[in-house]
Amino acid sequence: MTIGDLIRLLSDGDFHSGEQLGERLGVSRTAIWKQLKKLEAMDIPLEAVKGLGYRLAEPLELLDGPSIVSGLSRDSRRHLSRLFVEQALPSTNLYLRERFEQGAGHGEVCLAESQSAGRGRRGRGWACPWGHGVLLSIGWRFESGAAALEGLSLAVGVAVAEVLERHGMQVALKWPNDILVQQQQGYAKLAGILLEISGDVAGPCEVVAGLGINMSLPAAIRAQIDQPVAAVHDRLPELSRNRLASELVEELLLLLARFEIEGFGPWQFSWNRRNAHAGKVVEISQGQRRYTAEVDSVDAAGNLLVHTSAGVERLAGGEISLRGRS
Amino acid sequence: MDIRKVKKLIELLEESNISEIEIQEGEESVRISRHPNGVGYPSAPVPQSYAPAPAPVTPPSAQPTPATPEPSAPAEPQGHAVASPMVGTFYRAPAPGAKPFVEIGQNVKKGDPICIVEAMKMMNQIEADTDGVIEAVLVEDGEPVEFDQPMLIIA
Repeated sequence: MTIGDLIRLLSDGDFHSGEQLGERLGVSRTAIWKQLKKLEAMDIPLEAVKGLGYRLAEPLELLDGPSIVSGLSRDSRRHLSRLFVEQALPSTNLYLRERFEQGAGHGEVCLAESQSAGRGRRGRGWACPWGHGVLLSIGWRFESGAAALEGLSLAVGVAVAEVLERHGMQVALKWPNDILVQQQQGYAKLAGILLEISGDVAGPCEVVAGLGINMSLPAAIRAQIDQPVAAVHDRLPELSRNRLASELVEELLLLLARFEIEGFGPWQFSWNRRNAHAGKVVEISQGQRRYTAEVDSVDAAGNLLVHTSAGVERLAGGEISLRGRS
Repeated sequence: MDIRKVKKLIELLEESNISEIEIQEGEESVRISRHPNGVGYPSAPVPQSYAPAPAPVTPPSAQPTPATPEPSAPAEPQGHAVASPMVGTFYRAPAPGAKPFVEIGQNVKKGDPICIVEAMKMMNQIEADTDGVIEAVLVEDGEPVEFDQPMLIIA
C-alpha cells in the first residue's frame, strides 16, 4: 500500500471507516491509522466523524494517465512516446534526465503528485503539497546545438499562458518565463519553468522542460512562502487538474516540434504582449553587478532589452525584480 | 565518437571534392558538411586549442583584447579550452553553496559535468569533451560569459 492508494480511496467524498480502508488495502487498522496521521504532515486536511470514519476535507482530483492521454489531439499524440504518472518522485525533471541517460527520454512526459526535491533556478527549492499542483516535465532531443535553443524557455512560458487564458484566466510573464497573476497588491507567482539541457555543446542535445503550476494552495502553505503566490483554483475553482495537465502536454509537445523548425520568432510577439514589466523600472542582478533599468521588450532571440542611463542593454542572463519585491 | 576520428573525417573531406560525409557507427552518427545551408557555423566542430593569457573576464561589453598573443604565436597550447556554447551566466556548482562540479587539478572523463551555463532559465550542463585534468577555471562563479568564451582548460 502506498499513501497514494489511501488518498485515492479517501478522495471520493464518502466516509470510510478504518476497518474498511484496511480491508480494501490489505493492511491492519493500525497501519491505516499511522498513514492517516501522515496526511496531516502532508497538508492534506482530513475529516474524522465518529461512527462514520474518515474522508478528505477537500476533494482532491488525482492524476489519471488515461484521461490525460485521451484529451490529446492526434497530432500531439504522434509526438508523445511515453507518459509517466508517478505518485512521489525526487523531481520530474530528474526522472526524465535519467531516462535520457538510459537512451530514452525523447517525447516523454512525466507527471507526479509530489516531489521531494523539486527545484527552481539555482537549486532553489520549489515546494507544492501532494496533489495540489501540476508538476510536469517533457523531454525532447534537438538535433541542432544548444545555440539553436535561444528563446525556448520563453516560448514555453507563452504556451502555458495561452492554455490558461483559454479558460479565461489573465496571466502575465516575467522575464524569462515566470507566470504571474495580477492581484490587488501587485503580481503573484502562479507557475515556474526550468529547462535543463545536456549533451554535446555543438551537436545534438537533450532538453528537459519542467513546469510547476499551483493548482490550489492551502492557506497554511501560502503563509510559508516568502513571496506572493497564486493558484489556478483561486480564479477557476472548477478546472480539472487532469484536463489542465492534458492541455499543457498537448501545447508543449506541439511547441517543441515547431520550435525545432522555426525557433523563437513565432513566439516573440506573443511574449511581449504579456510582458508584466514593460515600461517599468526594475532592479537587475547579474553576477556581482546590480543596477536599475527600464524594461523594454524581448528581441528575436529572447534577450530582454532594457534602458539604462548608459544606453540599451541586452540581457541573456541575470534576473530582474521590481524594487523592494520579487 | 572519438574526436580524432571526427578530425580525420574533416581532413578527408577537405582533401576530396565531396561536400558532405555521414558516418554511422553503432548508435552514433556524425555528418560533416562543407556548406551548411548558408548558416553561420563554426567551420569545423573541433574544439579550438587554447592560446595562453586569456583576456580578463569582463561584463558583456567585452572589448577587443589587443594584448592577446596572435594565434600563430609559437607558444605551446597548454591544454584544451572548453568554450561557452551561448551567452549566459557561468556556474561552477549545481546550486549556490553546493560543491563545485570540478576543482583545479581534478581528473575528468569525457562526459563528466564540469559547469553550467544558464541563459534565460535554461540550465546548460556542460560536459568535458575530452579526458584530462582541469588546468584552469577562467570565469568566476555567477559571472556572465560570451558565446565561445573559454571557461575551463582541460590538459
